[in-house]
Amino acid sequence: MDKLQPYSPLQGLAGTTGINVKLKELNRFNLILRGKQDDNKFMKSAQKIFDKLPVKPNSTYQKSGITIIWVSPDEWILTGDYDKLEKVKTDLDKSLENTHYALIDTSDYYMSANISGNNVRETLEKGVVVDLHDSAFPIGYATGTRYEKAVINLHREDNNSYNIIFRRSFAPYLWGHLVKASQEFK
Amino acid sequence: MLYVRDPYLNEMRDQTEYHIRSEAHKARPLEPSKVSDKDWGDYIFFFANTKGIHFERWVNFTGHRKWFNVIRNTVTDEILATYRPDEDVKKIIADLGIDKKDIKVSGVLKKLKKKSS
Amino acid sequence: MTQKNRLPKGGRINRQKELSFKYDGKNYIGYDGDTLASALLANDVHLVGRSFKYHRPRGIMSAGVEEPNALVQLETGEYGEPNTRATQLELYNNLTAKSQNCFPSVKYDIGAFNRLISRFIPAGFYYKTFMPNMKGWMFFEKFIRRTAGLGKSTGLPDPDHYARKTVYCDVLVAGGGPAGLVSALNAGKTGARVILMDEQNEMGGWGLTSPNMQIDGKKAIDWISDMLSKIAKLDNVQVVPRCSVIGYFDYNFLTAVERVTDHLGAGNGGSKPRQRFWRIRAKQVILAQGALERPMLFAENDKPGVMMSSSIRTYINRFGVLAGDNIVITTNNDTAYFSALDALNAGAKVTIIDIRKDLKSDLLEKVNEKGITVHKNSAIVNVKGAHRVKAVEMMKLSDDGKSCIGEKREISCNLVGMSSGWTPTVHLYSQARGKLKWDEQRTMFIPDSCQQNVQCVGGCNGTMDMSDTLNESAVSGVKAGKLSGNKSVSATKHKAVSHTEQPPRNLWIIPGEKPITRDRKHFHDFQNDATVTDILLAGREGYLSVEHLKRYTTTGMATDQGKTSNINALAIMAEYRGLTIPEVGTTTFRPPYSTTTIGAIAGEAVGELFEQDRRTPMDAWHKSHDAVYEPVGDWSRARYYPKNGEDMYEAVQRETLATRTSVGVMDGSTLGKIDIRGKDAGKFLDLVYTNVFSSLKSGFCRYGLMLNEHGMVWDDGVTARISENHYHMTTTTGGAGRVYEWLEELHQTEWPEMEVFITSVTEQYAVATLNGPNSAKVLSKICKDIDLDNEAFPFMTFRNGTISGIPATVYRISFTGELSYEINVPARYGLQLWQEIIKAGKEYDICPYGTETMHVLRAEKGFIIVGQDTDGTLTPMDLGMNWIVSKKKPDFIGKRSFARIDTSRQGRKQFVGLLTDDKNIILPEGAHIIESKSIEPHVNMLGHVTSSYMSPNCGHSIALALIEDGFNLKGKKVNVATIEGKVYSASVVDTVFFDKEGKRING
Repeated sequence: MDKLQPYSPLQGLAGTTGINVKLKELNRFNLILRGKQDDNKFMKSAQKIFDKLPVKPNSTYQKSGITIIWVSPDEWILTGDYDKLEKVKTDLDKSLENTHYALIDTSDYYMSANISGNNVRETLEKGVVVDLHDSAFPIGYATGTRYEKAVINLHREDNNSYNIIFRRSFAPYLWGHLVKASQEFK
Repeated sequence: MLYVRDPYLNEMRDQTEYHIRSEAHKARPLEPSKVSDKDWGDYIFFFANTKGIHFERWVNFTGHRKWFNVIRNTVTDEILATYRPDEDVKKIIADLGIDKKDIKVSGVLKKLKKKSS
Repeated sequence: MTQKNRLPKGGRINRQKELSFKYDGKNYIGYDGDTLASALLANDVHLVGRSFKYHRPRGIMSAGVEEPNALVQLETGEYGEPNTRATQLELYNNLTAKSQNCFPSVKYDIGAFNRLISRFIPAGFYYKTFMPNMKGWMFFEKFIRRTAGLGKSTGLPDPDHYARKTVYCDVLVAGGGPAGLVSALNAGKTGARVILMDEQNEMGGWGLTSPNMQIDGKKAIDWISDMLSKIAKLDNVQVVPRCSVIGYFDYNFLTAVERVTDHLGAGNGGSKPRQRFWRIRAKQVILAQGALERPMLFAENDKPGVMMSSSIRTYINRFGVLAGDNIVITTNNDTAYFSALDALNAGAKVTIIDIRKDLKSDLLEKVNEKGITVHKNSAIVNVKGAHRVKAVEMMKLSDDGKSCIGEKREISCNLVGMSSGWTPTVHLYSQARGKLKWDEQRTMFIPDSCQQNVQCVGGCNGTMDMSDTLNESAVSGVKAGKLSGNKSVSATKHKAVSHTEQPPRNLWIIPGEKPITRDRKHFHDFQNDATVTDILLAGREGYLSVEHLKRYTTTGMATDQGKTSNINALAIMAEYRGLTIPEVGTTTFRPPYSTTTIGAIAGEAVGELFEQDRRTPMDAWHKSHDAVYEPVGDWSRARYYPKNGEDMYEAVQRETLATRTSVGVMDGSTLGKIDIRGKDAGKFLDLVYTNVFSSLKSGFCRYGLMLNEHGMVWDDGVTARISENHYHMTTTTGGAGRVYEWLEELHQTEWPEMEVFITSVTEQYAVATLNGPNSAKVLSKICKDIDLDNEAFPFMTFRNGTISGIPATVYRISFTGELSYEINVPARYGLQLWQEIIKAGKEYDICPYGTETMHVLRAEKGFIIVGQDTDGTLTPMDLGMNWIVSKKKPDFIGKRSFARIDTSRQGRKQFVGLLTDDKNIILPEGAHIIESKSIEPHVNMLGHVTSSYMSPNCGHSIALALIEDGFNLKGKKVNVATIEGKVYSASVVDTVFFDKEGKRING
């Protein structure tokens, strides 16, 4: 009777599959970590759990299936498989106690998807306004930007693979755009 | 379309990732209750609105969501500098060689400067 | 059927692939590689339309983007497109097109009647006729509008799909002729990311018109192939044909439109977009757009069969088409001689009429050798033939070039080529805010200086010599590559066989048989049917500035944007005014450089993808229960849930009554939610709200009012204290983004020393609110771990627990005055939560209600809705909310402004309730409260109705209003006027209409 039934706004919406462009929803947790980069006490406490918090703008750090994305001098996104949420939250809350920080679960606010394939950049450049060329967007780079009107975080995880973090209420809009954009490369 | 050096990312970005809001360096008086009606009115209603060198405040809304200042020439749309609120604007003005008489700020700024930045 | 004018060999067309097409109902054959224009000319079809105003027969005048006449109606039905330039339209199999602006046919056109009255409809005729007679305009307008325009829009939705893209590069080269190719190659060699674009289907530009010109020891046509193979070897150079760069904006941002599948035929694009809109940010730009030939302004120069002389050459060399076999070429410069030679080699009989007095050019010898007759110091004074040139009449020019003298001679011909010099294409440069300077010697405006990182090369830079062009392009290419951060390389060196140009003779108006104002028509702007006498008329009437000249005569205002008319027009105006050409100046160049479909600009953002339509996590349920939606910001919220054919009024009355009778449930997920944490969180909230939050106890909530610095109400919401340093703030739906940005601005720019983190969590939670006397009963069925007893769970507190296993936070806050529970769950369980509530509430007839009912319920209790009852001009005191303004706090946003004279004066608008004398009258929202009973002017307005509903719980209508000095009017009657002129009487009362003692809050 008390079986949980999560519902995604992308339910029933077709994605794309194929070598050239593949789009799929990911089941990931999304934690926002606030803390000042120049606050040593905070940084040390955070680094006890993850040996590194990226401090270079738009850089990322990955370890044990957790990805940490720099968002601003006082904000990071932590993401990874959804079943890791509780442990990460508990460990961090414990370590950061008594520092000036905030750790907020936004796993329902933000959704994740992965877009990959040979034509992934030709698809993304239809709506993204930043430069996707290797010289400006290398592997490991992640930035806040837009896809058309949807504000997203775009992370290049691998050569032809990008993770997109977006707001729940923008999901059908963004999905519709990405699917349409990929059609010509099917 | 304006192209600006984001001072937090140290990268060039389109203006469409930002909201361009109002005049920069209008410091809120430390003790509003001690300010005269006229000075308070100047603070909330009057802006330098310069034709020429203009100091304005932008905020990024797609990523880091931080506020920063931009020195823009409102006639040519040339952006002379972008800098964080904690940076030394006097040094930036000096480095750019801007003549002090070309800088027009709201009059209230002179009287009611806050203790810091 | 044979193509009469097709040459046996030559051209870039593919003679192996024949294409059928239909024009004006007749079938023709052309080849793959033709444009519609070249295919028509191959079939000796010159008459392709009727002019805009005078309905004169018109023919194909050029071979490119500058074409003013040959605008055709392409296809019919959903793929139909008006005003398509036949000179750029690539021919495809089964293409169908027809002439425009003619009825019933281009040959027999009723509109030609206009020619009989042409004397009476020069420039400015509408203005002069109708300004003194506005009633006349109102009558004639509809007829005149029907004749306006050339082609007709189909009115059907565009079936094609388009795409946009945003790209960055080091060097953008606009123009793929010899200059552009050399620039791109050199820039590419530096390692730069280069994009090379050309509007034609292949690169080559002028080299395609002049294929035998010697460049670097080869024929131009072979040299082009060579360059393209060299470029193809460079991975970092992208070559994009069929792509017009149409706009040049700030900071080297340019736009271009690529015709991806147009050449495959309407609807044949498959999954590819029909056209692609490029948004390009380039570190360096090289403009290599060449120059456009100017027409010569002799009498009757608009007849079908009169073309630009270089176009004759283009048709021969690019398309293998000789547009006529008996050609007269009239010119003021040397370039036309090359056209004459190519035409002769193709088998035509050629005569040259040169307006220059003395001819010393080496070309003169060449043409004489070939037997071409050259008449010097002569000009055409008439072109004979109605639908096609039959002959020209020629006279000698006077010494000063202002009149024609001597005998008139007739020369028979079936094609006329004209050339009056070249105009560098400086449009994009000017759009980039580049300044132009006038080169007197070469009679052209050329690029002078520009703040942006741009270089011009070749024709558009005024460089007409090919060697100079190529070498300057090479230097520009390496410079652009280096400046954009790449390596230094040496520029390639080139040599082309040159020709020393003899100076042209500039007679802007070629005189005719009679003085100009009584002579035949000399056209300068063909698409808008403007003649040189229109320019002189503008001068006489005082429209002297170039901007007035443009608008008075409509010169340069058609779809060709004056590419062939602007310079001629302003030169004539300069002569008229006795000024130099630069003193008259040019009009502003605006994008797009060439016409583009709106579809391309929109890209994929059309229909459902135009804009986000934000939905709550419960939306699937609302949708399947026939909810009617209302847009709130960019959200679609359920407005009401009609049952059994109810209209909105009926549904809302039912929902409003049901909620207070038993229980209702509403989806409140869209409200803004902000997480505020840090040791200064309370202090920060004290600054942004009017009341005190630092003293709020953990586990409690408080309603807060947020003001702007002017002291005016700006947003409101309930904020809860989770723990000592942790608050959860809510805002209005529309204010979510706004407040969030505002809080960050205050923290980052005014109080950065405060230790507080502000993070939006708006969509983290789905929110369902239970309201009504039975809400606790419903909740207790699905929530077993929260004690719902009012003592254990007091009003304005919150509790954590689970609802059917879903982790939830339940707030006892109320926007209805009823016993209420606002349930927050992680958004992914929002739908499940809602379904559980509906199931549990069934036995209590639970009523889902939407935003409309929410409005009524809160109005019954006198609660404000920011943005409906407030408009940014009301203080908390105006709203009767003195109780929420802290007297203890020395400062908060808005406080100082209370003391301003205008904020503290008497007579301000105040928030009150209204009860109409007739309880069934529902006052319209916005209705004015007026001083008198009559609406005859002058009537003082004392205020307006902000919210108004029929209240089923009260049994009468209720309204909320803002009235000057409203508090003192309580108990008195006022007059309320509607827009239809009705005046109702109402009593001013307190804003709370229902449950005045507030007893229902605890159920």
